[in-house]
Amino acid sequence: MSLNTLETHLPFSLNYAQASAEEMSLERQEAWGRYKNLGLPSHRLESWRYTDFRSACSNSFEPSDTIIDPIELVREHDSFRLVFINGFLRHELSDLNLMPDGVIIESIYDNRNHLNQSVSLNSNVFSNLIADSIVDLNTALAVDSYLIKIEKNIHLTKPIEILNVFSKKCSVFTRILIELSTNSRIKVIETIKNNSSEGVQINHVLSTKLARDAELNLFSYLSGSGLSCTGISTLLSEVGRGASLSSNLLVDLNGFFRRQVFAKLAEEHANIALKGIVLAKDKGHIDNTITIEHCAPNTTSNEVFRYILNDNSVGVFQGKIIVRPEAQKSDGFMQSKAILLSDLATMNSKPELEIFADDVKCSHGSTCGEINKEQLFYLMSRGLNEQEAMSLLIEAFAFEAFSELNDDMISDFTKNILADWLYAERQMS
Amino acid sequence: MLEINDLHVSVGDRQILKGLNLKVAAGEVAAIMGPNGTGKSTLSYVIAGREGYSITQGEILLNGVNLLDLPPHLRASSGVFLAFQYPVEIPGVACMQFLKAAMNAQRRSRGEDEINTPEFIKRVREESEKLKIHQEMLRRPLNSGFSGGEKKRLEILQMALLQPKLSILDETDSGLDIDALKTVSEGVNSLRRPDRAFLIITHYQRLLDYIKPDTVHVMAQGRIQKSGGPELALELEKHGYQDYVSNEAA
Repeated sequence: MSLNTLETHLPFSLNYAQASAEEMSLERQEAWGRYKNLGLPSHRLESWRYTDFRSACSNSFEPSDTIIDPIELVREHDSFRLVFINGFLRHELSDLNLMPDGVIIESIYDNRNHLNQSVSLNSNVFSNLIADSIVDLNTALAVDSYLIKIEKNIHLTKPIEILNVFSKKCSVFTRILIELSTNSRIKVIETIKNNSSEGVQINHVLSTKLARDAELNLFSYLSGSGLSCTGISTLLSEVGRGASLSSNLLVDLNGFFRRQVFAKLAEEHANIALKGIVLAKDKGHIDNTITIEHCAPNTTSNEVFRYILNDNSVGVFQGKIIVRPEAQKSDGFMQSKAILLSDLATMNSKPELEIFADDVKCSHGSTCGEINKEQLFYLMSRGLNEQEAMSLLIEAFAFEAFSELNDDMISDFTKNILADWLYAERQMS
Repeated sequence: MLEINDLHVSVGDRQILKGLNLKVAAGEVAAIMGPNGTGKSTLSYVIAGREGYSITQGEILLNGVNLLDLPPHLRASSGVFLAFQYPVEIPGVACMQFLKAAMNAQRRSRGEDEINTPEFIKRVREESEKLKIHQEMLRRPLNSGFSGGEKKRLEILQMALLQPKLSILDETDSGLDIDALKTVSEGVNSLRRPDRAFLIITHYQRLLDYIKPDTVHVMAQGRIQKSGGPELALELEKHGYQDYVSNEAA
């Protein structure tokens, strides 16, 4: 995805929507302009120092096309499902007609590939702070993008599932907007599944906006047995008064992947909780980079991440909490812990606090080490063999991140994924 | 049942056990007493199979099988249980989950069927009532934030559920108040059977008022220095370990 190749790809991307480069909407032109200035992020940038994305994307793939691959999908969750294959919504696999009252789904772009009048892309949740060329690139190139709007006071118990499946070698830009109106409450399952055996390049953006007292419970599952998945998934969020975003992330993916979060606690009593479990092996490189801005008083943020790294894998955790001068009585907590199962695995952890208010509570912690030998012996002395004891300890370690998860479906799902991963690692060793 | 012959153990350059011999018969309760730093805890860890000790000489036989050839989990399933002096805290692992995993792991190793959940819950309830363990405590993570007494009671609960042939109690009395000491001792006494042996490691006579030993062994300087009946413990209480320590030094 070097700049030059992208420029040659650009017209092809726009061909999907029968538009030419000259007809690019203003938002796209501006984003493209910013991207051209910045280029792909270099590891010389502080926020990219552990993740050399430019090198990882030195070979650019063709953009995805609408050619339909036959595909079989197992329904893993009881949900209202939107299925995207290689970046394109597949109506016949999705539950568009089954969506309950109060859930509106519409295309972000019109048939000229221009932004619909009613939609604000919400690309830059921060006032003037983030210049992220990855999001700009997505704004310029995302094609089949949707807005999911939840009306006032709607409470859904059955989750909405956004399933992104990648089945071939291609470069994909996807974008979803979720807007929760006042006092609405939903669960969203966001899945990225790489089945491509020849690799895929993903630039996915999920942009969320929570109005007063809204509640979004997001579970993101990045997975795939396919090879050389290179990608970035960005979560943008703006959280309003008394609203609450809870994001639980599970990564079990082969490849080079960054999940970045830019979130803003915009009004008083807004709350964000970001939790994550990362399983990495082989030469996997998994980066979580989070920026949370406390812009109003009495706002809380909480980040808890656990990494389990085997083989030559690399984990990155960068958490930045910014507390604006007006955000008195903010409460920010950040913690990342890693277990290294191999001598060759690497963990990079960097907490950053930028506090401009004087009456706040902010803390961070980070550890990195082996399995605790005392605990291992204790369990083995009770009859568990080494693998059983390790599995129990690793599961316990990982679930510290999901300790407040109040959802049996997600909890059981995560336990199964973890057990399968541990079983596979055991077979390999 | 247990036979330790000429056991030499060192940690790094330091020799800790220097030719220890000990026999404990089935049905016997043997107490090992001795001053600090004499290798009592090392002995218990070496029997249970903890890493970090180099065994340069000797053997530990349980019913004729050399335990030194087995990894810790197989020692456990063949009947060894160590009640830890400092039970390890494991946040994130619930007590009940752990107890069931331990029982089933041992059953699997012995080629037995796993215990079913109703039977398991019934057994835990019976045994925990005897030890005055609240069900609420068993819903918490393993030993996490437990008081000293709670930890020791949970060790005895594990012993009761796992029904080992050889139970080693490493300073189980330390950190216990009188009431907890009585409860724990009653728990141990109720497990005494002709086919089980106990090795009780302690500094003090006090525990032996509640758990009556058949034999008492004085350990000092990495060896058993003297063996006798319960009267030996009373003698130690009176005179201390001075004789045994100076013997070695001379």
